[in-house]
Amino acid sequence: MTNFKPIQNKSMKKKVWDHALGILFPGANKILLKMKLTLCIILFSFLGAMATDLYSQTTKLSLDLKNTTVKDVLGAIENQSEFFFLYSEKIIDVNREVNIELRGSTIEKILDKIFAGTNVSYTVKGRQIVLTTPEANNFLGDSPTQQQKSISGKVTDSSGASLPGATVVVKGTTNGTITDANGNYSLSNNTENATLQFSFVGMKTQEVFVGNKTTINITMEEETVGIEEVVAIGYGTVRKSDLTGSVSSVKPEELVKRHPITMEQGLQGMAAGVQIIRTSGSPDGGTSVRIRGTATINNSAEPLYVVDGIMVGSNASFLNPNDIESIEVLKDASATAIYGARGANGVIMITTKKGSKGRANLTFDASFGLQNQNTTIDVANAEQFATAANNVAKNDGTAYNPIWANPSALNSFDWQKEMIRPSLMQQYNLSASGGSESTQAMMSIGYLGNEGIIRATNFKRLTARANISHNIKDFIHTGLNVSFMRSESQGSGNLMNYASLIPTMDTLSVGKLVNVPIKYPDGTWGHFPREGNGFNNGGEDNPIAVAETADGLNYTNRVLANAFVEIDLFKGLTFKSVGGINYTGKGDHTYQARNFRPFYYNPTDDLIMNQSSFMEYILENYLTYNLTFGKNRITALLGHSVTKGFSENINASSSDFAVNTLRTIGLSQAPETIFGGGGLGIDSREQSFFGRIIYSFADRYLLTATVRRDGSSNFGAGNKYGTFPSLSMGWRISEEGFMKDQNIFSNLKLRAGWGQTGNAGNATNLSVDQLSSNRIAYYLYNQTSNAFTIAPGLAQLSEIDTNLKWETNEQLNIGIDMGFMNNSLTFTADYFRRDAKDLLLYRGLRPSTGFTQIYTNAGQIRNSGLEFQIGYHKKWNDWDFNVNANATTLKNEAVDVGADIYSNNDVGSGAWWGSYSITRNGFPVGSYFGWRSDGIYQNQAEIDALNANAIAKGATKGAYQSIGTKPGDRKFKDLDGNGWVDDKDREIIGNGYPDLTYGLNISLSYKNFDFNMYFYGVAGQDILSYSYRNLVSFSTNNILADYATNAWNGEGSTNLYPRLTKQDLNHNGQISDAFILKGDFLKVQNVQLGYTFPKNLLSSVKMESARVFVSIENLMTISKYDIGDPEVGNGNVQQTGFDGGRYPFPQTWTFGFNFGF
Amino acid sequence: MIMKRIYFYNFLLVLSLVFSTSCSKDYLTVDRYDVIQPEALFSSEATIIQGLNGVYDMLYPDKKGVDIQQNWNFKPQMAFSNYPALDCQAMGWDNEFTRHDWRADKDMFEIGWLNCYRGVDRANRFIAKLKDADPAVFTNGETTKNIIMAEARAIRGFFYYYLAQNFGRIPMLAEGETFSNNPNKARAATVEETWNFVLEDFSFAAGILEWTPWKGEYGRITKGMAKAYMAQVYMYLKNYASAKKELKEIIDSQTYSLEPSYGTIHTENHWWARESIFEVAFPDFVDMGWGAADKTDALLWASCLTAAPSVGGWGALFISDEYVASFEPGDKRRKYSVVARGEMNPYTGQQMTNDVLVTAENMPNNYCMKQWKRVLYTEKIYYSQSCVWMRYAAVLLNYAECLFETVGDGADGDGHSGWYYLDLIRNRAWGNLEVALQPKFPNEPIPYNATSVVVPSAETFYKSNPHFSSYTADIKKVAVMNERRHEFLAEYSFWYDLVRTGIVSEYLDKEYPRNSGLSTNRQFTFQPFRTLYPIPYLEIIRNSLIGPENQNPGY
Repeated sequence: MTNFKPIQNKSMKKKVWDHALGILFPGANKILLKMKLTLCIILFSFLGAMATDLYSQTTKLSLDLKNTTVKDVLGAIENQSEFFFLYSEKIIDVNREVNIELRGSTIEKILDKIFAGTNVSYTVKGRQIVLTTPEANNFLGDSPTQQQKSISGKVTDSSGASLPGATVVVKGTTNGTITDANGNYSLSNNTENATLQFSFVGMKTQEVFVGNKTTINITMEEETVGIEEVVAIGYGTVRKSDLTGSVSSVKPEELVKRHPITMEQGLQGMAAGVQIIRTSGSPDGGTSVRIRGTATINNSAEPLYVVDGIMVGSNASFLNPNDIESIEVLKDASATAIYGARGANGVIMITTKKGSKGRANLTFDASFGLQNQNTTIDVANAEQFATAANNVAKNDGTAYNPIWANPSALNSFDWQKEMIRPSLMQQYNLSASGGSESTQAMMSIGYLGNEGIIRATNFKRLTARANISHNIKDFIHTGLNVSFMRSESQGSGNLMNYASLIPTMDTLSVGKLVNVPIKYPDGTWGHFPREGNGFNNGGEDNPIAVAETADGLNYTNRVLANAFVEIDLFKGLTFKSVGGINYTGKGDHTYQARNFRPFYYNPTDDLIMNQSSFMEYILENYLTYNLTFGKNRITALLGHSVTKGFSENINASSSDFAVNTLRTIGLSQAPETIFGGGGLGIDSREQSFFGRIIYSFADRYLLTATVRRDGSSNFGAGNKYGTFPSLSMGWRISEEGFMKDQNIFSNLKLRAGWGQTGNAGNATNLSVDQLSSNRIAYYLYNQTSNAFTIAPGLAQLSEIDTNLKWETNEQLNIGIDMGFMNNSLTFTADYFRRDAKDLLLYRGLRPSTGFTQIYTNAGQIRNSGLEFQIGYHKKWNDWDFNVNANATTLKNEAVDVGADIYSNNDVGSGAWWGSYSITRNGFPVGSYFGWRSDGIYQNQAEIDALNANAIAKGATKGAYQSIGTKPGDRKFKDLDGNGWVDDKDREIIGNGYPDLTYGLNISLSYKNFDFNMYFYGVAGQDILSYSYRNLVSFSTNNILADYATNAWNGEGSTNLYPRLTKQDLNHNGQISDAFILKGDFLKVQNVQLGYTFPKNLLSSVKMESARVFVSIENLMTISKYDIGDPEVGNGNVQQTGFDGGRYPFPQTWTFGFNFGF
Repeated sequence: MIMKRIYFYNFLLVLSLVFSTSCSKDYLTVDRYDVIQPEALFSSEATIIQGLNGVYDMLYPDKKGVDIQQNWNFKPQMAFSNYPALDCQAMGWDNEFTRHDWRADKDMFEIGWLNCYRGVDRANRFIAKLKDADPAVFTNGETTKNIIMAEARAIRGFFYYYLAQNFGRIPMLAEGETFSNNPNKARAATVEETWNFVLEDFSFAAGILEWTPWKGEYGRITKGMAKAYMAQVYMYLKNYASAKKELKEIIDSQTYSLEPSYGTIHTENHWWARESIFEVAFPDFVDMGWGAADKTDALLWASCLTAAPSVGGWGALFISDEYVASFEPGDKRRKYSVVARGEMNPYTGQQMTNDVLVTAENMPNNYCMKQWKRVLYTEKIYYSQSCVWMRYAAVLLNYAECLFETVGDGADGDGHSGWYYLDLIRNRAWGNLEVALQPKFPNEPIPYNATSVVVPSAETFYKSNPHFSSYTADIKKVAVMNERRHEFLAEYSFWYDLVRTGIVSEYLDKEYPRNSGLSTNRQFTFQPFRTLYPIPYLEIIRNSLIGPENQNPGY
């Protein structure tokens, strides 16, 4: 059955809007006040810096120039101030020489002096000055016999903003004008058969035949991003047409439209070969990113992020998505080999926005999202649960819980509903950018406040950025990029935990049922019956009380800064030196108050504080040489890089405080509980040498060769260095002579590449022989003094492989790029085969070694697959239509990992799910390993027959499965055919890798309206649902409503659910294919409608642009999977497809606006 | 252009500086702040002793480990040595031991096995290096070196003993054998191979060590410990004569004596008392909540595991009604060991209900008080007590068994028969050693005997008791079994002794008749293969030299 998940039910909707009204109207609550304050602070601080209107009057300039051209004088003014000029050299004679000697003059005075005696007039608008002449406006036609007429109009950009400085020329003449500060122009004395040509840098030149028109308004379009686009690759850029590797470019503006919490979230479904799994719906937005599969077992499979040329590690969540200028995903080895030992999992290159010469602008955008629950798990209510529990007691012959004797009298809680609340997400971003000829700057600050939908959870993030570049000389360029992020988060949650909590806290008092509420009127919290009879879990607590009384905070401070100097040494030869720091400081504190709610209570209150920091220094120097001769074009790169990373952490705790408001470790009333720990972390250093040659002949034959040699302190003495080469080639068939005349392809390119990259894993000391003193001690007793002394000890705590070295990824890529209809339709396909060898992994050891694992190099994993990306762009009349679709197939296979590798993360000891994850040669990494189920035993005769056969074949345990098997228990298959079921009957029963991952983005605009839709889906995914297992196994937990009411209860009743039993002598809940569920899904991830205000409406409020939008994130999921959201995964490669529950993904209704000044 | 050239030369200078500083070959060598170079270990007596302490450390739980590792000395021990005998029962995950339905993938087997091998591995690494250590680094040269060697070998023997006792034939790792040079390892051909190896370790230790611990530091292995375990091994090998010799030497050394009051054997802050031959002490030096486990391993939460669920216990230890009813009148071990339904725990003042069966799983409503003498959670969670592995009482009972096996009803050189030694145990059990004794602890809630009482002679009692006489096994064996049963409730030996002496099947039939117990509803038929536990599943799937075909039969 397919569930079309509704957005929300009616009562929920009402709750959402009640909440919204509470927020949006006066007297509602503090949130509004907070929002206002935040907004005010942001605005004031920026507006102070951007007081543009007064600029021309307050700015005083001094010039002393002799026999200098007008052009140079204007340049000098631009250098000295923030003014910039817009003019056409066709109209203004800027080569005329002038003498200027003025001190402390206003711009007007200077301009009057420069253009004294000429017919040049000027308009000063803020920092922008437009120069024009009467001729430009009073054009005299070539032929006096033709009818002459005046034409005027307005030039705007695609967003509707006016475009000052655009050139308007009568085609075939030198006559024309440029638009004024409001984008208006006027040309008189035109002829009817003239054609006007409109041009502007970066925009498509447009021609309009005048005819009988008197008004011609033009919307300039940005130059089509075609194959001449430049893309960022490591340590440089390359013309897209020269690209031979597999690189996906993602338009940040598309991504930002979804208002993602992190850049990674927004990237979901946007690029072929890039799978993004949201690991959690928590307010900080956790994701797991896989580029071309999983090629490691114990190390991070996350890609490398390179931000403004600095390698920042495997996480870029500190970035404000609004600051991003471009995103390039380098997928194949020929693209990533330049990052050598860090490039194995692919590279995501991010360039942040920079200031540009010319127009200064200020943008402010704000959005307000209302979030609510999108997913619930349909579990039993108290009556259904207690009825089931009573049936369990009957079936097992065990005790009835007297409290549940009358199920209909119980107070029932829907814990999922109680723990989830509508919540507000707010985002504000303010950025300013601009610059002169020599200095450009961009500054931004952003604030994200996200209340989670689970009670008492929230996330706040403040980001600030300044990117400044400065040309010291015409051949020396410097720049500085600084970003800071502070985030704070509180609380956590897991929908599965609430779903599986017993739905009543009722108890008995003197034999009478007492309905226990969540909170009593006097403010005290209700709690579960304080008993240890096994009906409840003695450690279970009222989750609302836990959430509402929790006191804790996690914070992160992140600073990323880099400065560079770039020197053009000779023609084509450039040296660049980049120094950077990458700092992360983290901390948390937790105070746990005394409370006596759970049966197994903690007699003390505890305060725990942790802090840690990580610092990395990066220095990179490289030479780039560009050479063009004949039809040859060469770009060569040679460089060196060193990094040094170090960390430290400190933690402290104590217990027993006089009052519950103290948060000072030393104020404990039990000084013996004061504990301090921490220390210096593992130092990590790397040194690398790298080089690359990009060669193009006749724009047709392309070649890129890269090599990087990396050294790392992580590894054993003989294995510190590794070399990573790559080679790729391209053939632009469409440029060949024999293809010139065809009308099919506007672009056709074949690409093929091979290369190696590495994975150095995390900083480690597991390559050196070692002893540890970590909590190794014995206690010796002196009878005379009746006292103990601690005898400290040393021991080897890990099995060590001193030959530890890199993981090597070898990748082959074959791709084709096609463009049709002047690249309106583009198609890209890539085949890849990625072999990870010498995997760095914790190999499981036979426990008889005394160790469970060793960190070593072993084995090979292969990922292979196909990627498709198709784009279509069509514009007609007022319509603009864009569609981008991508799809990826992936086959993951452990080619050679030696002995099987098992894992049993995140399952309870009593669940019988040991070693559920297996990595075995010939199968995907982290496949599911278990028994095959074969329905439900319907009667005793069936069991007796199997038992008799088992005994006859020598089953010493005296049964086919268990001596406790009863009708209604789950039947398992005897795979080895020995007559009974035991450990040998486990096999690989599935894996969590989808056959196909796909994304679809559609955008449509009509006039000022724009509409966007994002779809994301996977097909052929099997989920190993531990959540489902727990909800169809009766323990001290709640179960699915369907299971509670439809469990097996007699022959023929069901073949799906086993009987209700808590003893589970048959182990119905053991790992088997009964818990593998279809996990295919299609998500309507985001729908957005926007409206851009027309320019003419905005000019009166001195605004350049304004847009408002509404969007819905996580609108709908179509899936058969109904145990929470089918998007499962926690980032651990051995748990691919494993569902143990998580923070639910909210549905977010967002309203927002964007203003540009 | 000239300017550019100057910049270019400057650039080359800077570049060469950068390269020359960063390319030094030591750049990639970093300091290690959290590990110690192993070379340092064997440089002095002090550090060598630290290495020995590292081997001793394996006697403690690993509070950073998984559940079973955190409960080492209690959970696997209780499960392997007691639950299958049904006097002690557990609910929840561990109930399968009480049902005789345990499987090879039970985590307890894996963790128990792993912990013992970790102990063996530490000892092996230490012993291998110690052999090469220069005697000159020790204050007393070879003598000190031998003492350290003896203690290390005895700990190795202890872990191998425990492995063989539970799993039978096991992989035997010699010194120098690690994963690197032996990725896979087969089981020993016979269990005797292990027993002989263990005997060598213990006899070496017994030959070197004194009766009192080295430097007066209790906690160290002593001659008494080594000999007591040697005797146990001999008994497994049915070499009762050798066992008897070792046990007699322990008795004659007069190093140990019975604790006058049975009730004080298991008491908080009662360390290395006169009856203790080997124990692991949990001095509980911090007084904290659950978070204490982040700080030290020497924490025991046995009281949480043993207390009644009605007052916060976790359901790991219920005592059967059959057991409670099995005592002779006057045997104070009943009152000292068990708080039964309807009774009050005299130490905590907590009243048990009258229900016969409690909890959702219908467990018997009786509890062991050996580790539950304080109200749970009120002040602290952890318990400052020792886990006593070997008591003098065990030596006496073993000696009695050896006498019976070697001379029947006959006497030893002192003119005492096995019955005499049973009577020693019974005399203390009836409280006769308490007479005129000042209570060790004030307000001893179970009053000491003021006067001597008459203790029925063991020989008379057992030979005349119809229940015990109905056993087909020799009455002497039955008598030793029954005394052990009452003496060692929830200690570490009863099930093993039942298995070793071959009386287990009959014991279950007599004491826990199928479907007709007092309240224990035994439904399973005893199957002999359950006298050995299975080789852990993980060992089988990770060790290519032990396949499913090499598993102990029945699993």
